[in-house]
Amino acid sequence: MEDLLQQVLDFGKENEYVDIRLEFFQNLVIKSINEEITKAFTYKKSGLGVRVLSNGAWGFASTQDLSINELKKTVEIARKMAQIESNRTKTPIQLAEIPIVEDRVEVKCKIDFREIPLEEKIKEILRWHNEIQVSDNIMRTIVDYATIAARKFFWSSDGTKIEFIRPIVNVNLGAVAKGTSGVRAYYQPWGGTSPDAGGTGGHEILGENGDLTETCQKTGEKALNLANAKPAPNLRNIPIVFDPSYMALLVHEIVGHPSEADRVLGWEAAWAGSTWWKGMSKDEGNPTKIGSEYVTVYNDPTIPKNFAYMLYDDEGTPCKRTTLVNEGILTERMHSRETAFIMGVEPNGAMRANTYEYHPIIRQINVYWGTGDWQSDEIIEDTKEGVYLLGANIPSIDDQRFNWAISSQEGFLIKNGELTDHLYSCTATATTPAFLQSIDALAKDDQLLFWSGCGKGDPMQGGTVSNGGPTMRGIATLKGPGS
Amino acid sequence: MMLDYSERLEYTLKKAKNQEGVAQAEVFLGANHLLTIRSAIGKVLESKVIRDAGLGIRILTKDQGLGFSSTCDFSDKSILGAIEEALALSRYRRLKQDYSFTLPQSADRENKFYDKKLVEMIFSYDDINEQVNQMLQETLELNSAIKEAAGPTHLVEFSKHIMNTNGLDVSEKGTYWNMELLAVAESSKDRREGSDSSAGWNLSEIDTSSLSSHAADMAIRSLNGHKIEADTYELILSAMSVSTFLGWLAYLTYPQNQERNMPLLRDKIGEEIASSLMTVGHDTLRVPSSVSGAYDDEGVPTEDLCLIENGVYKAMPLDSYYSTQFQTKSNGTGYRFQAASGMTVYPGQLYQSEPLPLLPSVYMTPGDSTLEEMIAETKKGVYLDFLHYAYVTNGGTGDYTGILRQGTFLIENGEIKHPIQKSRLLDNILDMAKNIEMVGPSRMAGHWREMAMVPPVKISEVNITPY
Repeated sequence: MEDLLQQVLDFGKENEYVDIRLEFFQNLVIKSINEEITKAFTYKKSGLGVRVLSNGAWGFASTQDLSINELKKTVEIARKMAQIESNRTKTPIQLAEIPIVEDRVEVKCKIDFREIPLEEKIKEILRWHNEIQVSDNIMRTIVDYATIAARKFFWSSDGTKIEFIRPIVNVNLGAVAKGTSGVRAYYQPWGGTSPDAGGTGGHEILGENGDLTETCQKTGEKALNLANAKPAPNLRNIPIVFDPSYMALLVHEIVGHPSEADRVLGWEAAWAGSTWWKGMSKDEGNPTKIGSEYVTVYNDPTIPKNFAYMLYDDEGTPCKRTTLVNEGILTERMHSRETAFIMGVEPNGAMRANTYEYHPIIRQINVYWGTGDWQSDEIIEDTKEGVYLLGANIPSIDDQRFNWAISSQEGFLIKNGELTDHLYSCTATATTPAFLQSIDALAKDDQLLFWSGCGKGDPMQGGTVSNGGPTMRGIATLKGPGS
Repeated sequence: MMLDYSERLEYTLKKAKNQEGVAQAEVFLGANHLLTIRSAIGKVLESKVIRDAGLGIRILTKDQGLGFSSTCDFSDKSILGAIEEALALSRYRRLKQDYSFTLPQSADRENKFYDKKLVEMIFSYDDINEQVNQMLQETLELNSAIKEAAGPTHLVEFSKHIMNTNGLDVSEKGTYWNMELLAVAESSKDRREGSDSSAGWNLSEIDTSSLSSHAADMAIRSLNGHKIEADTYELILSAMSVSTFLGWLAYLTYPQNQERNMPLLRDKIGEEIASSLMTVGHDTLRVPSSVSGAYDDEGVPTEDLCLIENGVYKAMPLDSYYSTQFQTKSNGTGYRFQAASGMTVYPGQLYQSEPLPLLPSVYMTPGDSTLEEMIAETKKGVYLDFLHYAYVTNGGTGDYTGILRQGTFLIENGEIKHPIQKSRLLDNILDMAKNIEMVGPSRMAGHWREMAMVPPVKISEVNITPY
């Protein structure tokens, strides 16, 4: 393997800079409804992506064919694109310095899913269906199970050589129930409503040491309760308490993405958009208060078990905890070597490509909201009239992240500090600056959640990320089908 | 040029059908060459080429077990490993109905969409790079208020080859391009965007001047917008916005979504779900896409499939698996480009996913109204050029929300009064479909892989709220 990697680097040695990612994947996906396996497949994938910087311009090419001739051709394609582009570019790309590293990182499994026979996995999936079926009023039970065994080599012409071995396991659970309000689903579209849904590691990270019994039963009960809930009303500018699983998607959308330096620089303008707080961070020399003292947010890829766990990014930069917002003041952005050079800061390890096929992009990895000093119950008790939203569902976000709307799995009205009516079809919406300023309570109960639904880049890279936060209260508008 | 993998397909099929207990086998080859030029802030940021090929193998056992596996390694060892894994999985996925892979069928239509010049341009690269740079420059020079130009360009060469033990042997190839452009205009107190997009099979169809002028014009005209009052408005959606809207409506027709978290249209075939002016269909030979062909990914001839006829929900997409569930025939919509766990999707043919009912080439039939007539018929309304990040936030109720991002204007008494600031649409997707009252001429339009052949439409009432 090392000979192959060295040969590929040698093919591109006349260029200013070359890096290569050689990756191997072995994946299993099982989808099931009502104890029936509806999809079951495996795939093996391997290939190499090469990035060439020549005279200040990038070229990138990838291939699944690992024969020497094909790899040489791949480097040549990348080099040619870079050289053609370099003839036209007026501002040559420069990269911030990073340490040269030689390392091997292997995430060990306590219960290795590769060693669990398929028959046992299927038996467990069928048992989970049974656990979700808490009542005859459960019409459908849904269990999706996936595992990824990934091995990556990153080598660069700077001399960095990293090998990374990473197992991932992910389960999505869902239930559809009937009741007085009709047919309602409690579902985890992105695995985001349960901290048991998976991450980097072995089978043991699911639930309690691999046992999802309690989470399955909770999924069934939630669906059943929702089927007897009331439609959410429309309530303008009210206190809303968000649970940790809603917070995961909220922090992802309104702090994570706008803190990516490529968005700040306008490089994503034609796709997802830019950011309303451009020029307002310490990174850009102008630290600005954008929220209350309860707004502290980090990105930390190095936290074990998180879905996108990594110690080095796809440029070989060591990852570290980055404080994006500190007590309401914008501090750092997430950077590549290129954007770090432009902003005059150190790279912080945020470049990631989904597989070898793709050019790496700056992407939030594990962004989470810092904790406060309230108990979550205290926040509810302290709310005279408001709403409690649990479980993120589907987002719709302004291109500058200036306005957001996110639906929840369920909600409750709060009256005089107590939860009253159970609500379905709740969507909270607010303007981000006003919302961040309105946050006035933050609990200790943070959770890190795992989901796989982040889309960014062109071609689109649907990456796995982790996000999280504690129970929090802020002012937003509730929209629902009720009166 | 794509390599010929026929011998590998025959080898796979021969080995698969010789396995004990195997009744039928199918092998699918997907191969792509994709060039993406990604530009922003008036220059090309990255250029990248993906070259990919692999095999997807399905096994059907004598006791109706169905298994699938894939590999991008064409060695004997890897292919035999994939066959073994597909066979192992088939033991746990027993079908309740009698299932069969596709029987040989001849398509009565021809796929003529392969442009050799486009293929050459992927690897010669210089010409398309020049064209993109020129488009950016032209956009910036159209007006001194235009400060930025950006957007992706994709050129794709794709091919597929499907063989099965029923004697099916279908191969097709095609080309596709997609170009998007965003222009940013600035005044002393405002900054607004405009954009346009197009797609096709042949390079000769690329018209960068039209993209530049529309994007720049929309950005400049949108400057200095007023804040809108929260209220119910008549809404004119441009073709680009209709592609987003229609993308979601099509998504709700997928049986695999209806049985999970999007049950809004479940069991509603035959019901009126939209205005009588709305007729929606799917045809990969009518609407360019990166999988266009005379056959779907299971070798079933594609057809001009009517999904909604004059407002009545007529059909859902069905591949061989779901058509068996519904005890009917596949309607040629089995495609493989949906993301599998941990992997993502790029334009072209994917082999690592089993077929699913999908609609890559949606169209809505044009009406006889012009945009000018729609504006003239509007008493109190909004024109929207680009609907951004619109989602059905509840798949059971159809709650629908999105951002009025670009080209937003207030219309009063039949005339455009002034631009308005970005706002949010908060309504219901079926209510909106039912309230379509005027339909214009069609064109290719869309963003973020939601390209469709669509007309602008006027909707009688939609809830819009300012930020």
